[in-house]
Amino acid sequence: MKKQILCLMLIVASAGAKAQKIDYTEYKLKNGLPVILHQDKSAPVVVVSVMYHVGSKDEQTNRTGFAHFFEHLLFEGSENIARGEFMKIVSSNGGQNNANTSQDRTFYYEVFPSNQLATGLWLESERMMHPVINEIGVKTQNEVVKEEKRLRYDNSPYGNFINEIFKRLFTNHPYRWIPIGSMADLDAATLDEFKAFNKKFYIPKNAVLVIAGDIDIAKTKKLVETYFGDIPGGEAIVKKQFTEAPITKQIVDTAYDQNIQLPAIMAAYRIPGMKSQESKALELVSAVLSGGKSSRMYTKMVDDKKNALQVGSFNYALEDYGAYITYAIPNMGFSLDTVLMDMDVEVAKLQNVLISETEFEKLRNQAEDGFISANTKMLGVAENLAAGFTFHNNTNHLNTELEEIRKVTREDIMAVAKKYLNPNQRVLLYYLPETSRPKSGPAKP
Amino acid sequence: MKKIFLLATCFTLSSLVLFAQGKVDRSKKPAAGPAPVITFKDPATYTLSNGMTVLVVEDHRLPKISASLIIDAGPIKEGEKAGVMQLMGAMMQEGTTTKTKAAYDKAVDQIGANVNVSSGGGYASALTRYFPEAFGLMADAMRNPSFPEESLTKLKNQTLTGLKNTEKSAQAVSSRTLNALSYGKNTAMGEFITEESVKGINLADIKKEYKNYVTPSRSYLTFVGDITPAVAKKLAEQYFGNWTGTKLELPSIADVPNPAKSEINFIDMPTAVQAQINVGNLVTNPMNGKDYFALLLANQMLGGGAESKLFMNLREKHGFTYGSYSSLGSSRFQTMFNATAQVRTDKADSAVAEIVNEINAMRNGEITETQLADVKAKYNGSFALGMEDPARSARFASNILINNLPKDYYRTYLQKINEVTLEDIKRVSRDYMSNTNSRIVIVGNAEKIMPQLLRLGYTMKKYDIYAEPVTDAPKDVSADASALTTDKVSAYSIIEDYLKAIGGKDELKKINTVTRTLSMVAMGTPLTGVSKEMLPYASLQEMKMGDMVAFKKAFDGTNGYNAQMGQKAEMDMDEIKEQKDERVIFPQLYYTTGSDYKLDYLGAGKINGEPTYRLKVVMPSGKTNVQQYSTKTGLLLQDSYTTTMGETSVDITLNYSDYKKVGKVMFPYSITQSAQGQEFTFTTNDIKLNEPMKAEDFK
Repeated sequence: MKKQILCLMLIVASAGAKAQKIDYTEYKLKNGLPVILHQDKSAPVVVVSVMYHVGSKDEQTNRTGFAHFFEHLLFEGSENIARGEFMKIVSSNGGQNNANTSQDRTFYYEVFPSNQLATGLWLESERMMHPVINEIGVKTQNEVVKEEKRLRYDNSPYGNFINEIFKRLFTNHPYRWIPIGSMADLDAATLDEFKAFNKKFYIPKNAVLVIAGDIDIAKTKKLVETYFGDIPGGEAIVKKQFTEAPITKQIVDTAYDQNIQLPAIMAAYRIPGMKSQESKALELVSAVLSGGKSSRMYTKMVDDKKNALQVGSFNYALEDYGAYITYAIPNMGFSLDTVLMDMDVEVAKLQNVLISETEFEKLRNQAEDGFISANTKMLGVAENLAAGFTFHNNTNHLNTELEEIRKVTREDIMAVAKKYLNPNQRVLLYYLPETSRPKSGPAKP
Repeated sequence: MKKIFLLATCFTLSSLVLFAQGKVDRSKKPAAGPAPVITFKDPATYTLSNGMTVLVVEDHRLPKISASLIIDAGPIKEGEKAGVMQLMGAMMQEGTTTKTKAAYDKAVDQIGANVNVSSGGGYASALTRYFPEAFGLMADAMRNPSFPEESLTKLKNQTLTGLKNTEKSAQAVSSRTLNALSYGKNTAMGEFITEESVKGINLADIKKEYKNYVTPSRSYLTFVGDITPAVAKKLAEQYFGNWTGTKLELPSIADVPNPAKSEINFIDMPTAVQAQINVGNLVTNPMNGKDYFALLLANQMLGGGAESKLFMNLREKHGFTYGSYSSLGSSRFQTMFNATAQVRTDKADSAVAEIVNEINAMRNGEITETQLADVKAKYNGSFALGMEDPARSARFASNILINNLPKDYYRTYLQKINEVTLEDIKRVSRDYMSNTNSRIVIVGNAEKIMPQLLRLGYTMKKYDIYAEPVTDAPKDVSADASALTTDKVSAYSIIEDYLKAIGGKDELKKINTVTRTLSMVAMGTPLTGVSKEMLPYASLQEMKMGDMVAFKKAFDGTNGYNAQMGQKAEMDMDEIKEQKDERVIFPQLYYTTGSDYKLDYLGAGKINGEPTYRLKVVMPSGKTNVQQYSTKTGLLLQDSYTTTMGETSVDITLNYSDYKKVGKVMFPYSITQSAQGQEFTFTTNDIKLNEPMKAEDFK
């Protein structure tokens, strides 16, 4: 391995460690719309994006799926954009666009060649100012969303796994349903209810506009004022707070999936939300357990014992709470309880033995690599700026995130594992093929 | 460094108005600013003495470097060892001659790097300070895999377990059968992994294919990122300079013909909640072909995005699907044109029809200059957006080499896009997007969608989830079989065949009453009786033991009763409803005439060795019967259903046999009823047709 060492010296000499800092300008329009501008002239690209602080957790219990439904509805057109034209305007001007919805927020964006900045602003401002919400749009998107649900969840192997976990892990918080929501609720919703939802949430005071890319800051500020300045700010929203009583006894249940042949087992623990420092520590827990092929669970179960086809764990971090989920699909011939025990042993080890300095260094290297990869394109930068503003009340969050991760100590990792990842605090879900559901037909005489 | 200017007409210079103060005209899309200048550097290129081409794109924006190695072997036919290349690639990640797998994985993860290798090449990316180490690890796996036997056992087990899981995945089944049916199961493009093929792969196979295909011959190593060409060259020489291996020749593959006539290839997945539809044909469209650019635009117009015809029609207009798209491949080998959608089950037939309509619209030139300008603008825009990705110029350079393209291919790319005319689009749509030789591959729930699909009128071929043909039992019910070929069985055809087999609708409709004299033996005692039926609903059965009425059931069309050994019970509402299900004399005459009865073809069956078609009939009352009709004679052989007797539900099966002609119509002379483990056979002694009857006879 001499060659490698030689070469390493060669490169280290040529490239000093460069800190990657994302600069930005932040201000607020008179109507209360926060604006964040980031200039990067290295490619002739501009991202225009709006993050609305509305997700499925803002829905009424009998009208789930609304926020995601709006992600569809708000492409239907506006007072100045005819139905079906929105996406055409984007593509016929060389751009790309999409949107996505989580439990906490909805993110709409366009990526354009930089000479189309005004078009992007016009589109997003039309959407915010006066979208058209009518019967035909609602009816069409209702069908489309049903197909989306079938495609992503009902016709997809293990597609309902998050749904099945969240409805058991949360009993009071709206996290108990997932963004796709209930089709019955959407069917029952009236046009007026959709309009009211729009009026309440899709307003400057509940949004942040982020523009990133090849822009001139002064000119962009003028354009932003032109297109967004006249939009009424709306009523500031007071978010309801929901709390969950701690889980003190393991909840064991079974779910069935007709798209699978191999059963899976999942253990889900309720943990603090993404804003907490503990959430960062739990990110590192998942790196220890299942980040990469040298991770503890992977090495032990996939490579050594060979009892798992797949094993993993992750921190599903949301604004108010999170879910820490460990899961495994056993190889044929191994039982769910065997792989569960192996996963549990690894969690227990973390709770009782400090990880080594070497392993800790690995986690930090992985985090640094991931951080740089997350901000290579303007769209990633725009979304990370928006998320910092929306959730952390700190637009600079993306510049400090790596530091925050670096502040986590080995002791912190052990402490969060001890505090949150105990069997009596979890939902244990046996996720089985539909064919193994017990038959409960009428008894034969 | 050269420059390219965007050529699209929509990029104009009239943006000044935007910057003026005051109100903006919201009703109009803002004008664009001056077109951005697109520049890209040619990568630095070297060739190592072993034939490996090295390309380097310097980009110091972020402290990261990546390297990717591609070995251009072309499609490889694996035959009965299908999956060997995939397993060989996986085996390359199971440790090297100097590092166990655990040590290797640890080394990669420790520096936060990503390293992957496969049979077709490798990839390494890492922070600048760790890159040489990551690159060295990638080279080690490419060149010195140790191929431990026990790893092969593990990987084979994983593969087999994974395969098991795809049996229930409509998506997985769809993509594998689409290729298998289009290119042929026994071709490099169409073959796929099976349990059998995986089980047959041994370590010698792995080693053999490694020797054959993992080699510097026809290989391209691309560095992108925070690195200079000098350093990159040094790394390449150091780790790959003395690598030698088999010289590769690109295989030549014979073209596969498209179907002579458009056909549906159906794969039944009873658990699918959507139908997965693919409509398409094979095409030849190399990157240096004359129609490449026109085809890029034509496909974009048809189904390239959310603004394209397919999406606008199937999703935005009809709401059949979450998305519908098309793709038209480009390759040195034959490739595929394919329009696809996952739609809700009851719209499978409509979705196929709409996809075909849109293909026809393209062929007929139902497109405008504006639409063409729009897709050109999209390509011009994408080209600009691609500037964000530093790896792109390396891809351009390797594409030019691999596909034997002119050196200025990408510098004149937009010019060639912008030169395409409406006529070109129409011509290439006709030449490449077939409407008469399409293969329509559908994965879905046969029971639910087969009847509708048959209405589309395409030849129907059925396959299993491994692309093996499924043939229904042969069938020679009548001389005139042209409209009733074996691959066209539907609920409808089964009933039509039955009615034809027992005499034909015209004859059946002439019969208003039927009187049967019956005999049977119950618990050793002979019984005799009579059965009468009168249109539309009246029926009566009476069995006597000597002079005593053992059993009587009467229904006059409105009310009825059951009597057994003197005990009489009026029919309740449910019984009356069920009575009405059995429209007398030939209920099948009404099965297909309205919407009262719902029919579903369930597939093949067998009764006493005789092949049957199984038909589910949901009666007007909601009761469900399963009937089996002979594939040979078309006759009804069995009818089974569940009924309730007091609190318990009872499964009843009626077997029909001994069909004989009465006049011009066939009747079963033997009916055996099985229920609760008991069997009674009613034998018909005599049948009289159209004897006068009146309602009072059924009181």
